[in-house]
Amino acid sequence: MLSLLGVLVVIVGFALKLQPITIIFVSTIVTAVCGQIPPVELLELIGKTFVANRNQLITIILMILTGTLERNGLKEAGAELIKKAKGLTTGMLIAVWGVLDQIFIIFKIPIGGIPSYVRPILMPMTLGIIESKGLEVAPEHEETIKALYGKDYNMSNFFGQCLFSANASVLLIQSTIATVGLEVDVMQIVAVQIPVALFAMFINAAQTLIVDSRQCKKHYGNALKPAKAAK
Amino acid sequence: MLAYFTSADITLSAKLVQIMYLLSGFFCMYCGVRAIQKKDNKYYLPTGIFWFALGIVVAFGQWLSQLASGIIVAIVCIPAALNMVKRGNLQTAPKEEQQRNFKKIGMKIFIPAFGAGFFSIMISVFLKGWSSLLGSLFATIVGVILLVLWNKENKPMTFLEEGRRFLDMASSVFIMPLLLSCLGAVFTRAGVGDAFATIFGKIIPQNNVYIGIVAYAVGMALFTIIMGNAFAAITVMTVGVGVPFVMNMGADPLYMITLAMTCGYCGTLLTPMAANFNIVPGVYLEVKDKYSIIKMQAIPAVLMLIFQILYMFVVVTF
Repeated sequence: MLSLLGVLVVIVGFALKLQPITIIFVSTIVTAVCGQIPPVELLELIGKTFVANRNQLITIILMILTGTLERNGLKEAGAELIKKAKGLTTGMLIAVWGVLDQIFIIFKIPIGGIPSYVRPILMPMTLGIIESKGLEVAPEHEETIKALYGKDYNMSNFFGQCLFSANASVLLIQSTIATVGLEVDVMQIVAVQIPVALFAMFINAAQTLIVDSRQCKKHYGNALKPAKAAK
Repeated sequence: MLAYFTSADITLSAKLVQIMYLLSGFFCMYCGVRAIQKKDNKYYLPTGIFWFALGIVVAFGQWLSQLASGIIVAIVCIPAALNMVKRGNLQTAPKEEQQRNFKKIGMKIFIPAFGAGFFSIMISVFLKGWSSLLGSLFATIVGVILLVLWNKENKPMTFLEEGRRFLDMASSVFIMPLLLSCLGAVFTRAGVGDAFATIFGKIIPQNNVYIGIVAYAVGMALFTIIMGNAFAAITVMTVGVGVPFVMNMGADPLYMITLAMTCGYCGTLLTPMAANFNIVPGVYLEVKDKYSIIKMQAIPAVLMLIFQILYMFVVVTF
């Protein structure tokens, strides 16, 4: 029962927002002491587990490529891609971005992110849709758009990342399954996650469209529609 | 080590994976040396030791004794645990340069960007028995060649320094999932699972796999809400609830553990503890209500959790 102290260290440590590695370090020592694991055995166990699971660090090799992609204009290309989507409503633009974002994450393409993408590129574009109709953006609608973009990124990121086979989450799942005594290939884990990712993509887009169209109706009435019909 | 690579008993795939570890390890060591050389911050020495020692165990793990690896891992952890692994002041290329390069290369920059995903899928479909992790190796090789062909300004140092910038951004938290795997092994060895099973056994009815699944999935979400981190929760919850109440009832660990992780993510969507996902982006966007992103995420988080519990039910039933 004493060995549960180590678990308590993890829960309390993360809840107090201490450095994750500090928490893990302290919890390991507490668990080893309480569980009476001798130091040499502890080090051997950690060495063995670390080496067996170091595939979780394999994306290091990709960084050599991804860092240089950014220098060579990957972000510019992403902005160019979005500019092609003209004539959309605000909700459609946010929803399309959510889908694109999830695809980028599935393929581990370093585009996206709130500070580097949404803030400088997408926010002005989205607000521009309303302004281009000669309307003023309602403050409540603007806040909704911000929250939708924040949600968009998290939904795409969380439920897309498990479709990239070398992602840390997939490899942690693999090593956790191994502790139960079952060896699986990363692609089997990816396959299990496909329905989850698709459902997330659908839910994410549907919510964006519903919430945004309600806001548009509330603040602009039919003012958005005639402009569209005139085209 | 040479014997390993010349041995006929070891598959080409396994050898290539080891080469990938060697390259990754050497790259970490390079970053360690550069951190010490460049003195970007006052913790340059512990930061350098962290990356260099990590590089040794990544590169040579296959050939080191378990005890030696364990000692090196401890050396890696000490500067990280003392919060002495700091970022350098590495900047991305100026916007003008990115734009100029984009004009030169254009939209085909997406080709190398899709490489890692593409090669992983190709390997798993066409090369039976090969590790799909090699997709990252092939993508890097092909991508580097393309970038050099498209833009003569991409020199070997460009790749190394841009890679270092990304690794530096990832910082010591980068190895957290791996350390959590180690902690999980220590938990198991110390009998944490048995202790958990005894406690939860009094609360959760033992013979019902459906109730077990709900406890595991909702528990993952709740634990993640408290801790702010699904990676930490999965280690604890799988040992404590997953194994005794779900897997021991005959449910397939592949489905259960894989889905438990994303059930944890539903918790991440709901907690201010995960500030870097739920609070900080709001600051960048200057939201008026700092919880507005979490509020927007409440409905999808609950729907995702229900969907996954039903998915697990379907898997154990059929």
